[in-house]
Amino acid sequence: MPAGPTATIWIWVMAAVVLDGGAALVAGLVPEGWLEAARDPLVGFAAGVLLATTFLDVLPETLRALPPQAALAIVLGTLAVMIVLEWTIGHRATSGAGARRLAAILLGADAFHNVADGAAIAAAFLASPRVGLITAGAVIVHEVPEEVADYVLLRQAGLSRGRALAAMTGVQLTAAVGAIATLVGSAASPLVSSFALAVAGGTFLHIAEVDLVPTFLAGRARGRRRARAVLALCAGIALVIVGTNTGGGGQR
Amino acid sequence: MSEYLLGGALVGVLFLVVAAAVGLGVAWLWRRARRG
Repeated sequence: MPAGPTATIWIWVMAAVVLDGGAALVAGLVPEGWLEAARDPLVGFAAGVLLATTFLDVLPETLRALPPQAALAIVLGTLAVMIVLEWTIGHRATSGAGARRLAAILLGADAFHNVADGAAIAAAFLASPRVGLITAGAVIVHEVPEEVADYVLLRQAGLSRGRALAAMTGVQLTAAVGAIATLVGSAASPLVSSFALAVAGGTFLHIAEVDLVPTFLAGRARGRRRARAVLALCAGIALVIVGTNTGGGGQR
Repeated sequence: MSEYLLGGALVGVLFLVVAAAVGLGVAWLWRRARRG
């Protein structure tokens, strides 16, 4: 029986989960006018960070731990399942939903998403502290624009500023469920964290390519706004390249 | 190879079940709190 994660890994993972919870507060602490103006660059930056983290940190680490065909099949399988789920259940649940029902669906979907984020953070810290820090950073960065969007929808559903923030922060902490499940599972077999990291690669690709990039490439952003978002995407990629290389260049 | 795929599928399904349970639980609690 493997020894399981050390106390240091537990502390790193739980600290990252709490910081991730803090991302929800950004939406309420920053003036709403600024949020509106900064939304597209924030989304672009988050997409860049997620894509670069997936290709430079998560996938190489997964390929080190699992046979390449199996690793890539799990990543692509997860991506396909997430797309099918979003197009079927997600679309059906939200079409024609009233504002109050939409708020419940939004928080439920956010909790689902956060469990995946928590599992990704834990699996990445189990691979190595460097991959853990970069992955936790990517999770927190992509949460900011998503929480901003959720905050706007909850306010439109009639929630006060305080209640919207409290609900979002509470739901954000469901990431702990995914993190704890992954840490406990890895005590049974170290392969669990490798599988979880491969699943995280698929969910990251889904978030970046299906959720984030279309909002500024196919959405309402035009002209300068779209250019700023694309520049921010490049900046996100560049930041992860620098972080990956300064933190050991992908070598253990 | 096949045992790795099986393991990956198992972890993926477990993840889906846990995440769906948490998501549905949060949505249910929220609706109940709003009604109450």
